[in-house]
Amino acid sequence: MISFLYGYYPGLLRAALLAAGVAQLVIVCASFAIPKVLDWKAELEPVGNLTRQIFWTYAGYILISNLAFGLLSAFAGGALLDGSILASAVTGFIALWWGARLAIQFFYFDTTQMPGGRFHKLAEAALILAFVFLAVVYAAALSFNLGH
Amino acid sequence: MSNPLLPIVLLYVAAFTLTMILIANFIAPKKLNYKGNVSRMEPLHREVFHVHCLYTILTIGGMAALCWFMPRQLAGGSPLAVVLLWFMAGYWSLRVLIQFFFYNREIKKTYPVYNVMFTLAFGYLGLAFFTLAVATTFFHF
Repeated sequence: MISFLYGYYPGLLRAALLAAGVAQLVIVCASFAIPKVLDWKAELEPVGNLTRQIFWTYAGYILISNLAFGLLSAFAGGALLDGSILASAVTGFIALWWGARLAIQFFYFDTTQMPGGRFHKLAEAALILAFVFLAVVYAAALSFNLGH
Repeated sequence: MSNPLLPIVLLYVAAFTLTMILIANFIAPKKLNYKGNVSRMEPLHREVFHVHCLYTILTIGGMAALCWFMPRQLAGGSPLAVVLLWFMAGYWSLRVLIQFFFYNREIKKTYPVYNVMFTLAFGYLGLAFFTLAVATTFFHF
């Protein structure tokens, strides 16, 4: 039974990477709402110019990285599963990226300060599920690459 | 790019430059008084800022590690290597534009040496990755 499933594993992993790519593109789209939801403009008013500009620059770069991971996984998932050392490095990096994000959600962010309400609670739960899914998919892709 | 050593040299210089930027990311918070500035933010935004800093360090560290330990694979012309080179070319070219057009002029006047050093570093990285991306995409070395 296991060997039967093993034959389908690369195809399953490819489909999972496609889903991961789409999930990251959805996260990118949702990220555009965050500055408004958390009122970044008003919150960053009291800090110095440089800190404010650094904050926006870093946020922009994280968005670009998520977009790149999403596009790469959705449109070139095969390149992430070619068994090369480069594919291992990239899938390992993205697994670390989302694994760390999951740990930050649970152990660093004080979620009591997040906006309340049913919608925000649901959005937070969806986000956590997405982080778990992404970390697991890229860890599986890393394991697949290391096995080849 | 007929000399096979040239891309490797470009990537090792990029690795060194990235490592210097990485080190600067640990020095900058004290120099630019992040703590004092960030203390004026609400705790949630302070946490977001720290996470942003961590991810920026992670990204730059990841790029440096690729250039130090896998220069041959990066210059090898595989589809993944080409995508990575284009990504890094875009990443650092955009950073040059941000340095010129987004960061406040007063800040750049306050730290003229750092401004020139960072602009040169970002410029080199943008140009080196762009050259390699073009070479691997269109000329296959």
